[in-house]
Amino acid sequence: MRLLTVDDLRTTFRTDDGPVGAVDGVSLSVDAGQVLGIVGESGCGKSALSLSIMGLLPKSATITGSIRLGEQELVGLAGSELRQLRGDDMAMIFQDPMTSLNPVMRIGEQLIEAIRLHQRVSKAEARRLAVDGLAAVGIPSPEDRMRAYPLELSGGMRQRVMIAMALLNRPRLLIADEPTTALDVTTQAQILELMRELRREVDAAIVLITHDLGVVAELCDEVAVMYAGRIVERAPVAELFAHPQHPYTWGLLASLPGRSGAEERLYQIPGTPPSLLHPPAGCRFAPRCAFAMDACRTDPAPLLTATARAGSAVACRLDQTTRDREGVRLSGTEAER
Amino acid sequence: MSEPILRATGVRIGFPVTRGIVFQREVARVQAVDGVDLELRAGETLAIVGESGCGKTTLARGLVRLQEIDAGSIEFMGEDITRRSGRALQGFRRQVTMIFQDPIASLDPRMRIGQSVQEPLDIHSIGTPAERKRQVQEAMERVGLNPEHYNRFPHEFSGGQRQRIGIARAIVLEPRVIVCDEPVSALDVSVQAQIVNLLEDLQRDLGLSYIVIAHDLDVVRRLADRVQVMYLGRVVEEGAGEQIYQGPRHPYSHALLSARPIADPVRARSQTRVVLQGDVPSPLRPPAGCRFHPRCPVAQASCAQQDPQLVHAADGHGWACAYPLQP
Repeated sequence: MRLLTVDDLRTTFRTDDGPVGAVDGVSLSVDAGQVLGIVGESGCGKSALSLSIMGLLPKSATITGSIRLGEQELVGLAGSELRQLRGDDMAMIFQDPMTSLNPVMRIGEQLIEAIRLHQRVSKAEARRLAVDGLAAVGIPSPEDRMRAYPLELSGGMRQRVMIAMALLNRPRLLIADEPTTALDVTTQAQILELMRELRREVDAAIVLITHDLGVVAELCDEVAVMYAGRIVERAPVAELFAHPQHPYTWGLLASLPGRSGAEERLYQIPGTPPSLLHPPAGCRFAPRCAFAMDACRTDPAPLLTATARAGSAVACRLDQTTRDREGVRLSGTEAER
Repeated sequence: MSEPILRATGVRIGFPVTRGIVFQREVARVQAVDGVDLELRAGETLAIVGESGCGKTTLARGLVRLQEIDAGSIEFMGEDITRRSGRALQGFRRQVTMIFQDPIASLDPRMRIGQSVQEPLDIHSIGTPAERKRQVQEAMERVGLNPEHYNRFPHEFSGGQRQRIGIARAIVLEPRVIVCDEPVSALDVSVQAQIVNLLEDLQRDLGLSYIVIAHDLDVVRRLADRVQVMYLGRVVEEGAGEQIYQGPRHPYSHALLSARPIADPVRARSQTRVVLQGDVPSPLRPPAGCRFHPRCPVAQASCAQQDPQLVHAADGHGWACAYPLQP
């Protein structure tokens, strides 16, 4: 069942230097029970996209286009209506749990408050739900932890509390923005394991925002690659890693230290991402692309179009044969080397 | 085998835990580094890996004498520099420099970047002003910065370029050793690749030796000749990179390696993982016996009593475990 549909979303921030189009014509959809990964580097607009969906943008931002949760249109909704949806139908977890946990309130109180804002239950019932919620995310002795303050817990435990809080009211849509980036690799493995279990149980649509292709490979069903405010490629996860279609995706995969042999130099994408104040005309990746043709620099960038690969779409002028050949050559998996 | 350029023996570094605001008194001591030996040979990269709180950064700061060490010794090119101070330490500081994780925090925002790169030369009074300027320009070119940007401020640069400024500062003194504390972990993947390549180029061209502190095991595998795995202040396994990556003997190293996300959906979902339970215990009260035993998937009853020492095989691969994994 289609749960989230984003259509031609544009999010623009007003700044002293002029408007910045952080999200520039993004369309995507996620089904219930599915995990969509959104990958890209700093400044590509992935966080602006997630805040747009949650209705958490600052006043300096304007959005156009459409965001639908089920049948309900979210763009243009009043603040109070959005507040009712947040924490109920949709929830978000952040990289740093301390941005969403109140440091001077006991964990139990925060959980109970979150439940009673959205569900008509007694305090005792809310308390029971809160303890169950903590137990469900693998927090040992949850009864005791209810009395703890956030800073008394380790980073991994705080992340679990935040996940528990996000899931309290059984959201239909969960947005996770770099949920494991601040954690150690062993704790990250625990949280990824937890998210894998949860997605089987809660049947929510999950949007996972990350810069880490390893996390994408572990958890996602589908992946959208963002560059300079736009989606340049979208594909089922196995396809993306086996037959990447966009030159930017090739660069990302090829620059991973784990994928290339130790003798050869790591592949570097030349140049730096463009400023979104003055994005390049044409394809925004063209100035850094080894395959760019004249048309790539001058003509409007191609739209996301289906490729010959099942379920995949790419915004690139190169022909299918070149994309298949160069994609495997440049970003080939270890097995193919 | 050549003489080590930097050698640490039995290094212990602790921090006081104090109570009271006006009359502070020491009520306990956290042993952040608890008896570490290491040897860095010329031209080699030694990586120190482990989770937060394992003591790797404290150890790095101790090695460059930014942090006083409580016990043990540090030798640089055969000379004991553990107790040196003032002028006697200056020579060492010229030869052993450091690169930090956060290039923003390590640069003075009000200082032009050329001045930032030149500062170490000024401190050590090296050369005439004209010579200093030339050295700064050389260092900037070497790390891929445009020397014409000498007069710009740090905020005008991207994260990757700021890290290049930090590296220029570290190489301008023409050191023998650079200690790199998480040199790429704050950077995007594509920028990370640029900095990793730069560090490799500099090592080859300038004959540098590196100590790399990192938690990203894929970056470490690429950079390091030898690896030491730390847990709660101690080295639990050490050896050549491939010895550790291909055949870890300590269950902690194995768990650490198996926890990394694999950027390949087919392998990522087929491999069986050792997911460690719980968190690293507090270094204030390290567990008795083997410090890893409460989280160890293969611990035996005796592990709670006996504290295993690092033992080495003939090939130099060492581990501190009573029941090591079979390679």
